[in-house]
Amino acid sequence: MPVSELLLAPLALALLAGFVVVSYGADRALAARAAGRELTAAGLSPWPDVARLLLQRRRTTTAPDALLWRVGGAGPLVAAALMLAVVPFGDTVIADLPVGIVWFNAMDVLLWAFIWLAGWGAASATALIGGYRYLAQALAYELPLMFALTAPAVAAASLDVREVVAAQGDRWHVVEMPIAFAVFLLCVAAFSLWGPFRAPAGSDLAGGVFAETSGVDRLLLLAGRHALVVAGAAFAVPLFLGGGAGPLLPDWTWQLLKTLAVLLLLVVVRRRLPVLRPERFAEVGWVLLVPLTLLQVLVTSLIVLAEAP
Amino acid sequence: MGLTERVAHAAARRPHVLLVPVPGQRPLRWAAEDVLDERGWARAASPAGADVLLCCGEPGPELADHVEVAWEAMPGPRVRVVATALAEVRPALLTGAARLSDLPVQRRDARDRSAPALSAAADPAAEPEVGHDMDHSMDMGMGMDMDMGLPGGLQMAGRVQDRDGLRLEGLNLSLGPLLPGWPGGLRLDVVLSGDVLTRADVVRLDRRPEPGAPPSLVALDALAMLLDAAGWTDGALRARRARATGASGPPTQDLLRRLRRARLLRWSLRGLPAPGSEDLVAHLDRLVDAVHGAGLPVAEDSRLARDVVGLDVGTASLVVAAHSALEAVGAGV
Amino acid sequence: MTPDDVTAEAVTTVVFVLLALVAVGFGFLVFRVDSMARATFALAVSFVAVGGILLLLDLDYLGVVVVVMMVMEMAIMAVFMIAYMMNPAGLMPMSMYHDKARAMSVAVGTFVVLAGGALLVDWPERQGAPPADVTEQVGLGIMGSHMLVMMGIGAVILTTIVSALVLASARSRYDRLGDDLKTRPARDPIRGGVGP
Repeated sequence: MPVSELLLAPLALALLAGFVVVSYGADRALAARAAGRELTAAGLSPWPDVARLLLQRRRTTTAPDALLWRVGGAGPLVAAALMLAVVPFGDTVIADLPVGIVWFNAMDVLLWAFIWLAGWGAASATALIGGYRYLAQALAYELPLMFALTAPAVAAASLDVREVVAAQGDRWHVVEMPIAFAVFLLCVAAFSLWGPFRAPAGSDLAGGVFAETSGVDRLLLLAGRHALVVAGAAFAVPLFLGGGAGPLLPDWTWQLLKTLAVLLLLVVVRRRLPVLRPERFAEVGWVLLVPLTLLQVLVTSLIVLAEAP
Repeated sequence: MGLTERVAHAAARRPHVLLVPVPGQRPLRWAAEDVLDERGWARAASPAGADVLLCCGEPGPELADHVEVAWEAMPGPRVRVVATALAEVRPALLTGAARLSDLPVQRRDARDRSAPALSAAADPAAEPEVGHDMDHSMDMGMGMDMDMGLPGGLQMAGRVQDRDGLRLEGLNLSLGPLLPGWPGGLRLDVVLSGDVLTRADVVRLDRRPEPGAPPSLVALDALAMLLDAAGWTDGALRARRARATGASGPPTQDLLRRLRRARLLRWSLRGLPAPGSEDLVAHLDRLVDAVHGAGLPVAEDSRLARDVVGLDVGTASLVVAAHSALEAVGAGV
Repeated sequence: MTPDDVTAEAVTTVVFVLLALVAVGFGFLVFRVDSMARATFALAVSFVAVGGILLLLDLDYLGVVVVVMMVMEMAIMAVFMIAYMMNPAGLMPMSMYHDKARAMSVAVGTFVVLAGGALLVDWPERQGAPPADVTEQVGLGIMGSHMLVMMGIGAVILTTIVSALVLASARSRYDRLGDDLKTRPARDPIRGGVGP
């Protein structure tokens, strides 16, 4: 899609916002169905929630670490935007890094810092426990995520996202490495505190890392959380679903459609599954997912060797 | 000014409500939850995220203190309403939402609020937090004396032996009574080391007997609380809808069918202590049987206090959710 | 050199100086701030700046991996710092200096020697252009044909860590599963997610 360089970043942010609105609407639609109330267009819009947060006053606690708290609150949104910078959109990409996959990993590792800081800075017992829960969860999912990211890189013999797309010419990676795809989606939910992994923001902790935030700070953190899911879904497409490949429609349309599909899948997962508490998930991550993803990388390597000219 | 008004009206369309369930007024809580579900309004998890504070009944003296702390912790715009009868619940919520968009009222409220008194003596009522934190303690580790005064009246923590044999800080915390999904008037005074409970005391504020209700509906309510605590919000929504439409309606059958297939839920509830059953999975099955007419399990507070010691906060709130929705038959003590 | 090259070099120099100042400055801040959390994340910022400098050297993979590794480590280090150190929130003023005179002279002296060496040594001029994949060339240059051995050593190190943990753990399989290894569920303080 021919678009001038200067417009790329604002366009990406606008698309990010658009997808956040769509995921919010889908979430509310499913909730309305479960509650048995009828769907209205007004009921799906995020505007009332945004409006109330814009009007709400900010608050503070006794002896917070204000600098770290605000950094932690704004960080997830920044990390999501930076993740989007390496997602190719048709032919264009904002940051043509030769190590795009590792960059995505680096951005999701920054979340370890940001969400812990959001919990620590609030100087509240429940927020702090929320921050520590996030680290416990992160320790469990990070290695499987790294191995799940390694599999497409091995298949394409490159860390550049565009080359991973190009290497999926005749066969999408999701067919070759379904475990890596599933683990990747699981880890996207985990680093965005989404659905089954929202224990760090859980209601048993009065909102966890959200417990003491209000107003604009809360809006930033919530927006960051939703933006992370969108960025993760957008990144899954070039990595596993062939990027913009597809008949009839141009590349960038397919990219958007596939992102939408992955996003809706994540929203359905959010509504259907209970919360996986970090102490249960820890064993799953280390004992089940690490060997599975290692096996996946092994299988992928064998396929690459078998198909080498 | 037109812009602010429009934003305020939009905000008032979907307020986040902090429900204060009052012991002995269970039907009011049910009615309030039904209104929230029906209108798609959210239930706030903490005062920081709440616009409307609804007391489901007139709170007794002990609970009223906690309500005051929560009210002070709510940032503006904020509204406080009380519903003392079943017919008052819906009008209270609607007028509350309308008052949220009443800008002059909100501005007056903001002007008349005083800054919380952060005195050197750690005054619990002044702490800008919901009543689940009576004593901010910092973990300062070894060798420091107890009378060092920290800014904000904070105290230093003592050390306790924790579940794994480590000596960690002992944080005195009060969980509840306004945590979402906790029944009326239940407060758990705990000593936390890390996030593990090393001691727990169950405190029932203003205890009153609940009015009688069909056991199947009580079982559905208990299911809703358990599913909310387990994090399956759709399941909780369906359970509350089943409670509202009656135990033999299609929503109930739908819910029970989904519960039979809920494998991940059962996996996450395995091995946790439950009242009158081997673990929470068996408890879940007993509640399902109770919806069909079997008897409800009986819960005791002393058992609860024993069960939660050694668990972490998340698991403890699951156990509390299981215990507390079931009032022992004839309880008034 | 063309005007474009001159601008590129000027920009690179400016960015390098900024990143270097951030790295050194935040490194020093680690000892100046009172709060353990701030000290840890000041160190994290310092490491991220070093990662940025590696990016300037065209070592893309190494630069980004430095950021990944260091931020993860700092997050875990923060947990331990707060668990073990006094005054983790920095609410009381404290001094983290010990043996100021000697430590300062050693630190400043080392910095002067290394920086002076970097600036004053007669480095050879680059012949030709940098290779297409700088990271690969660096890897080959350092490890050459021993790359496979290094990867094997990585696996051995992981195994060693796991074995050390198993040996050091106060509770063994027999404590968890009984003498005949048949007790189900296992006698654990909290129940795990998979397995016995």
